[in-house]
Amino acid sequence: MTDLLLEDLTWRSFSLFLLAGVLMLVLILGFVTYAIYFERKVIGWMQMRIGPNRTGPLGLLQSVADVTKLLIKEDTIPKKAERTLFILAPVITFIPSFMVLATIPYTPSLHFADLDVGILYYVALSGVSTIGIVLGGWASNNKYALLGGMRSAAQMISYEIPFVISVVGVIMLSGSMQLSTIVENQGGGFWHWNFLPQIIGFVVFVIAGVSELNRTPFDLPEAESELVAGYHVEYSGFRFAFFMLAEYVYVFAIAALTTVLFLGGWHAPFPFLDFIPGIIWFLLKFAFNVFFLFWIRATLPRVRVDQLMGLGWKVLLPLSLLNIFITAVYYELFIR
Amino acid sequence: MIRTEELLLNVGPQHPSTHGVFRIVVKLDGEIIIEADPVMGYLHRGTEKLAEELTYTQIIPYTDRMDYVSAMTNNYVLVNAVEKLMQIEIPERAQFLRLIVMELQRIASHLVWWGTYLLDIGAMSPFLFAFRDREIIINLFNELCGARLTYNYMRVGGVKWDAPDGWLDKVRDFLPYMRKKLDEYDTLVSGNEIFLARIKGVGAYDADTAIQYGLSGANLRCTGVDWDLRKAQPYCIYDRFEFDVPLGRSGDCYDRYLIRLEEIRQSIRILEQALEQFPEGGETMGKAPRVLRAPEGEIYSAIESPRGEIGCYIVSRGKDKPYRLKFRRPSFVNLQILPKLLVGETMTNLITILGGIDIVVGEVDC
Amino acid sequence: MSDERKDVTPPPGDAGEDVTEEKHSEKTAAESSAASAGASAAGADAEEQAAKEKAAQAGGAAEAGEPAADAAPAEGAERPRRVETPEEKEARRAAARAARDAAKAQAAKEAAAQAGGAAEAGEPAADAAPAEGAERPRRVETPEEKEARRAAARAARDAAKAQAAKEAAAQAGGASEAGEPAADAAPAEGAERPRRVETPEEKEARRAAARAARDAAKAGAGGGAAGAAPAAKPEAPAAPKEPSPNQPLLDRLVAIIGERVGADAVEEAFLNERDADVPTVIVKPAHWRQTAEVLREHPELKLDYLRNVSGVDQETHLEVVYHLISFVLKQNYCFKVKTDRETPSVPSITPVWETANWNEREIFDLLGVDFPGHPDLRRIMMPDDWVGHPLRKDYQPIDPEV
Repeated sequence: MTDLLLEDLTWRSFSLFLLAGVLMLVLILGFVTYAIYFERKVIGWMQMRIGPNRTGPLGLLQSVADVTKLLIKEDTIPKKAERTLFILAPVITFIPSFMVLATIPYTPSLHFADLDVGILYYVALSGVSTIGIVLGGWASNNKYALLGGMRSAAQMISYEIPFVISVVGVIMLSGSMQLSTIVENQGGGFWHWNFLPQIIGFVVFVIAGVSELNRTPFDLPEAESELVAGYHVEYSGFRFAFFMLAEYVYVFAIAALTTVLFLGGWHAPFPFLDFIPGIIWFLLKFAFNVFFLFWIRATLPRVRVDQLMGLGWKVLLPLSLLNIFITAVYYELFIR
Repeated sequence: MIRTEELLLNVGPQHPSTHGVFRIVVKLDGEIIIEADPVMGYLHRGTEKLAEELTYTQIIPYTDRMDYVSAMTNNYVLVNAVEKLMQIEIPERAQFLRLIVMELQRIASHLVWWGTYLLDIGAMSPFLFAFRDREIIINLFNELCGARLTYNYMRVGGVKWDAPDGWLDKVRDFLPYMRKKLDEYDTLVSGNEIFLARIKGVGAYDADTAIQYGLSGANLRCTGVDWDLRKAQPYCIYDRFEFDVPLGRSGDCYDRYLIRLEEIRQSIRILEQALEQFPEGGETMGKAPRVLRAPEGEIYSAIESPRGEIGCYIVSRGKDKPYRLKFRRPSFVNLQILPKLLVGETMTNLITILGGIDIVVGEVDC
Repeated sequence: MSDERKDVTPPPGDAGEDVTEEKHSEKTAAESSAASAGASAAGADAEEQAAKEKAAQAGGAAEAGEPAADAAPAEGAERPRRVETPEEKEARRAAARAARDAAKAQAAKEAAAQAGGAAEAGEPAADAAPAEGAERPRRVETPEEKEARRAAARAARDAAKAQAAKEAAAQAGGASEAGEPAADAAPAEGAERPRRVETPEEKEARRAAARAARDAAKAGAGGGAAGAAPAAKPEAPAAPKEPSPNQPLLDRLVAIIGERVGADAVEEAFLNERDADVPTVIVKPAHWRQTAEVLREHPELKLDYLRNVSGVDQETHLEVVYHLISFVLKQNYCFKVKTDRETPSVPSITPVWETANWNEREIFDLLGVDFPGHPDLRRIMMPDDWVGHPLRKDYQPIDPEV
C-alpha cells in the first residue's frame, strides 16, 4: 500500500485507493452500526434493562433499521435557515472524522498513510469538525442550536490545547510524531507502554479526548435536558445521520488513537503472548476503550459549562504542562 | 467594546426538562439569565370549577390528576377536609391503610423526583434505577386498588378496598429492600464529584425568603425551618409514630436533595412502625352517609404531600356538592420563587434549580 | 395478578348493603324517638292544623308550652339529624313545616312562629331546656339544623343582642315594651359572646331569626319578645360551657387591629367552629393592606407565613380568604376581605407576603378581582385574551357543550 503511494498516480492505483477507501468506509459504517448496538446493549445492561432485542436475532439489526429509517426520512430544511451552510455543515463535520482514520496504524503492515506528523494531522483535522458543528448551529437559525454550537466552539478551544500538550510527553519519549514509530517504541510487555511513564499525560488525554468527542460527561453542545438537542436540533433524516456518524467515527478514532499512543498498539501485554496476532491485541484494547466511553456515559452526570471551562484551563492545561516538565527532567536524568 | 445582544429564549412548553408543559421565557446574556418569566396554564383543566358540579365522591378522581406523581396524598387531602367538615369517624384499619399508602406514595414520589432530577443533571442510569424501585410500589398499589397512577383509593369515611391477603407482607418485604437500594443510590450519586459540583450552592436562599415566598416541603426545610405538617399539625395517625424531620442548613439544591433522600428513610421508619401496629380485622369504611352532604360551613385543611403543604379549602352550603373548592397546591406556590432564583444563573442552572424545586405541572396548573 | 384481585376484592355489593341496612335501623330508631316525643307533647291539638302526619309530632312539640315537652323535642330533633338520610330529612322538613303552621295559628305570621315557639318556652321551668336543646345540635351541626337553631337559640340571642346592637333596635323596642325585668341585665352579657362564635352561615340564620323576632314584636305579641329575653338568659351561662382556647386569641387579635389600624377595620370577627375554632376576622378592604402589615410585624401575632389565598364568589359579593400561620407562635388565623361583584377590588398584599403574588393573579384570572398594588397583575391560567372569569358562578362558557 505504502509503495503504491510513492508511485505515480495511474488509473490502476487510483481505483485501488478508491476501493480501499470505500472498503474502509463500509468497515467504519459497520463499526458505527454495531458500536451503537453495543452501546445500547451495554448501557441497557448497566441499567438493568435488556436493550434492543426485537429487530433481527438478538436485536442485531436494530441499528440497521434505525439508519434505514433515517435515510428514507423526509429531508426538512427550516424555512428561515441559512440553506447553503445548513446543508454543508454535516458534510464539514463528517469528512474530517473519516480523514483522520487514514493515519492510524493497526498492525505493522496494516495502515494507510503512515505520516511523519501523524499526531498533528489528526489534531488539525479533527478541529475542522467543530467548525461544522458551529456552522450547523448557526445556520439552523434556532436559539438552542446556536447555544449548542457556541458551547461546542468554546469547548473545542478549551480542550484542544491540553489534548495536544498531553501527547507531547509521548512524543518526547518516542522522539517521533509518526504513530507507527510511537507504537514500535512500546514493544516488550505492558510496562513499556506509554500509559505508565506518562500517567499524567494519559489521564489528561483521556479526559480531553472524551471532551473532544462531546460525549457524557462533556456532552454540553447537545445537552438534552438543557438545550433539547443542541446544535442538531433542526436536523433530521440523513443530515442528522451524518452528525451521528461523525460522532461515532470519532469514537472509533479516539479509541484507536489512545491504543496507539498509550496502550502499546498491536503489542501483547506480555512477551510470551506474542504468538497471538497483533491485530487481535489492537482490537481488544480498542474495544476496551470504546467500552470505557460507554461505561462513563452510563455512570456520570453532565458537567456545567463554566465548570467545563474551569476544568480545561485551570486543571488540565497546567497538568499537561507539568507533564512535559516532568518528562523532560526524567528524560535528561535517566534516558540520555 | 463588543456589542452584545440579549437573547430571548423560550424554554417549554415542550422541553425535556420542564417536567410536562411548564414554560419559562428567559432573557439571556450569553448563557447568563437576566430575566425569567414563567408561563403556565397549559395543563389547566379547571378542576376547581369542575368540582362545583360534582359530588364529593366524584371529585376524588380529579384529585388524582392534579399531582399525578402523588395521587394518594391528594386523595387524602380532599377526603380529610370533607371528613373534618362532616365530623366522620374513620375506622382504625382505614387510618392505617391510608397512612401506609401515603408513605409508600411519598417514597414513590421522591423516587420519581430523584430519577428525573439526575436525568436533568445529565445522568441517565439513576432514572432507571429509581423507576425500577418505584415499580414495586406501583405494583403494590395496583394490587390494592387496581390502578397504577390514578388510584382513586380513598373515600370519605375510609378507604375503598381492604388490603388483599399477603399485601402487608409484601410491603414489609419491600422496606429492607428499599433501605438497601437507598445506600446504593448514595454510593452511585450522592458522592459523585460532578454531581456535587453541579448542585452544591446552586439556587440557595435563606429561611426568611423561604417563608416570605410561602415555600413548603423540602424547599422550606432545606433552610432549616422545622415545619412538617405531619409533626407540626398531625393528621391521620402520624402522632403515633416516631420519625425525624430532616432539616438542611444552606438552602441549596444539595440540601434539598439530601432531605428528600432522608425523607424516604423516615418514611420507611414510619411504615415499619405502622406495619407492626397494624390492627387485626376491623372495618375499612366508617359510618359515612351514602349521600355526602357537608354541613354549611368552611374549612381549610392541609397535609404534607411529598412536595409540601397541599391544602383544601372547602366552602359548603349544605349541598352534596361543594360551593367552592380551592386547592392549595405546593408546586404552584413553590414555583413562585423560581424567577427570583434564576437571575444571574446560567441556562444549565435553570434546569438544576427548576428540578430542585420539584414541581408537577398537573398540580401547578390544577 | 387479576386472579388474585378477584379473590381479595370484597364484592362491592356487600359494603353497600351493609350501609343501607344500617340506615334502615337508624331511621326506625329516629322515628320511634320522634314518635315518643310527640306523644308526650300531647300532639293531638296540633294535628288538626298540621298538614302532614309525621309533622304533627314535631308541630305539637313546638306548640306545647309544657316544660317536659320542651326538652323532648330538642332531643328528638337532635338525634335524627345525626344519622340523616334523605327520607328523614324529608320527615324533618315536614315537621318543621308543621311546626311553622302550628305556630302560625298563634302568631299569624310565618316567621314569627319560631320566635313564638321560643317565646312560649318563656316559662321559668323551660328556661334551661331549650337552651340545652339549642346548644347540642349546634355541635353536631348539619346544614339542616340551621332551621332548628333558628327556632330557638338564635331568636333568643338576637332578642338579647338587641339591647346592645343597633341592628335589632326594633326588637329592643319589643323587649322593652314587654317590660320584663329579667330581659334587662342578664342578656346584655349573653349578647356579646355568642355573636363572636357565629360562622358565616349562622349569620344568615341569625338575621332570619332577628327578622322573625322583630316581626313577633311588631305583632304585639308582648309575651313573645318577653319570652325571648329570658330564653337568652340561660344562653349566657351556657356559653362558657364550650369555651374555646382561641377565644382570647380572637379578642386580642381584634383589639390589636382596632388599636393599630382603626376601630372600624374589623367588619366581623368570629371563631370558625367547623375548622377547629380558627379565629376568623373579616377586614374592610380599605384597611386590609395596613392590617396585613400589622399582622406580619406585631410581636403577638407574627403571622409570617401565608398558607393559602382563595377567592370565593358568594353571589352577593366576592370574598378573598387568607389563611395565615405564625411559625413563631404556631397559631392559625383566617382573614377575609369582602368586595362587591361589579368592581371587585382588594388591595394586594404581595408586598407583605410574596406568596400572594401568583395566588392573587390566579384570583384575578378566575374571579376577576382587581388587586391594586400588585406588581404584575396578569392572567395566569387562562390565555391572555380570554373573556370572562371562569370561577364566577354566573360564568357562561363560550361553548356550553364543553
